[in-house]
Amino acid sequence: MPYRIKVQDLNVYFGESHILKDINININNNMVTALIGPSGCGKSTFIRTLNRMNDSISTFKKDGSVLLDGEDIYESNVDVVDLRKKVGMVFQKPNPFPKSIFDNVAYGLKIHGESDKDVLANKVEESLRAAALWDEVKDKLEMSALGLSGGQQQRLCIARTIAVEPEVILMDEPCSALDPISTTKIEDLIHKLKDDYTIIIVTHNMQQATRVSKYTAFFLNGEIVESGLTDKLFIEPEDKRTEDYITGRFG
Amino acid sequence: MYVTILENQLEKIKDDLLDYSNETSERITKSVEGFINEDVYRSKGIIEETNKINKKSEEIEYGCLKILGLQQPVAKDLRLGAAILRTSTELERINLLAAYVARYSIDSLKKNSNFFKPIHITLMSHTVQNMLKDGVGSLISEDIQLLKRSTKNFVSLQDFYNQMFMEYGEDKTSNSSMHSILVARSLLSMGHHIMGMDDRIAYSIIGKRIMHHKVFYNVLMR
Repeated sequence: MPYRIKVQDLNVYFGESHILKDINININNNMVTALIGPSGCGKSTFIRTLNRMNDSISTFKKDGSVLLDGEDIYESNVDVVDLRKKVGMVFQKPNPFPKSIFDNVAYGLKIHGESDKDVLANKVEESLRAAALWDEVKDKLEMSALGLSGGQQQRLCIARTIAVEPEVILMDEPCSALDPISTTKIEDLIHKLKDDYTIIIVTHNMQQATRVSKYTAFFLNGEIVESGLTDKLFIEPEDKRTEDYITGRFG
Repeated sequence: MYVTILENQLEKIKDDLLDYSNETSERITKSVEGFINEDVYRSKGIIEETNKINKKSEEIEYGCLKILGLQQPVAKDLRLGAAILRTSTELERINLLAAYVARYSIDSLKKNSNFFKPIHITLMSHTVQNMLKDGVGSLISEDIQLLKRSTKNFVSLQDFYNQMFMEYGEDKTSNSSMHSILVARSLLSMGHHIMGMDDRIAYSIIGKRIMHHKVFYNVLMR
């Protein structure tokens, strides 16, 4: 099984607080991995560690290693902009720029040096198609992205992420602000995207984790209590704490 | 809140299953007594009430599917739902077999009456009922020891059947022996159905697949 990301003995601290404790996990290539656990257990901190988004927090400290394709992303010679091109992120709340739909998708390409209009146009169309949004917006690409519905905005953000051809997409509760129909569209999209990308999704929705992911890791108090195949974890969990959490008996 | 609602619904369906299992056990007693005592009236009653009794299986199945669909349980709650569905189906089959026993009782009396009925049939009836009581009891109380006892009793059930079959020697085609063997065979099949539900109950309780192939293998290879 080829691993895209290998996390070894990772500990993360914010000042004196020990947020992530001895995390060891392998993230498989071209699969969806779900991270579940109660609020404050360290899921979001963990995925933000995977593209160094915690670096901007002054009290952030870590030990252990995070390997992307065998290379430690925390090595001093790693270009963080390049890293974030490889490891894109979709946030809980859709966050399109106050610009046109076209510019939102083209933005990432432009900052990575692409200026050819034809290339940009082709790439924007390709990304919007991959994000299952093209048919809905093809006649209004110059319209402000802020005029789209919440579900469309989130798919636009996914299109913006995939436009720069990342290897890994991190999703931090991408459907929590969306209605059920938009949620279904995003889940269908995740299902489709997994053929080309490695996806890690944080979700509080157990059913969503079972629907979209092949692997699941359960976080509790900064530790991974249990990880493995989603089917197994949700039907035959091995740890009592996992069972209590997923059946709603936690605490 | 969610857990309380789910737990209450599962408790309710477990109670329904327990009632259904008690009625099934009673029907096994009555059908075998009908055969032993040559009570045609009782046997006819068993056959007539089969559909009504088995409506409970449909009700339990519907209630269980409603829980699975609406509450979307996972882990042990999901496994419990699956075990209830399987148990309910097996009880339905056992009830049909009880009706078959009643049918054999009536048929046996068409040709002769007051014929010899081996004690094995009564013993098999008791064994099946013990298996059923322990199996369903283990589902209700999540007690794996009861389940072990239920499974172990299958060996005795098969032994009673084998012994009875051997004792008939060459005389297996006469009207009386044939009907006794058919009744015993139905009781043995009830045991098979209970073993099927025991497998699913074991999975529900401990979360690991325990198929009772070993028991069958040991029984068949002796």
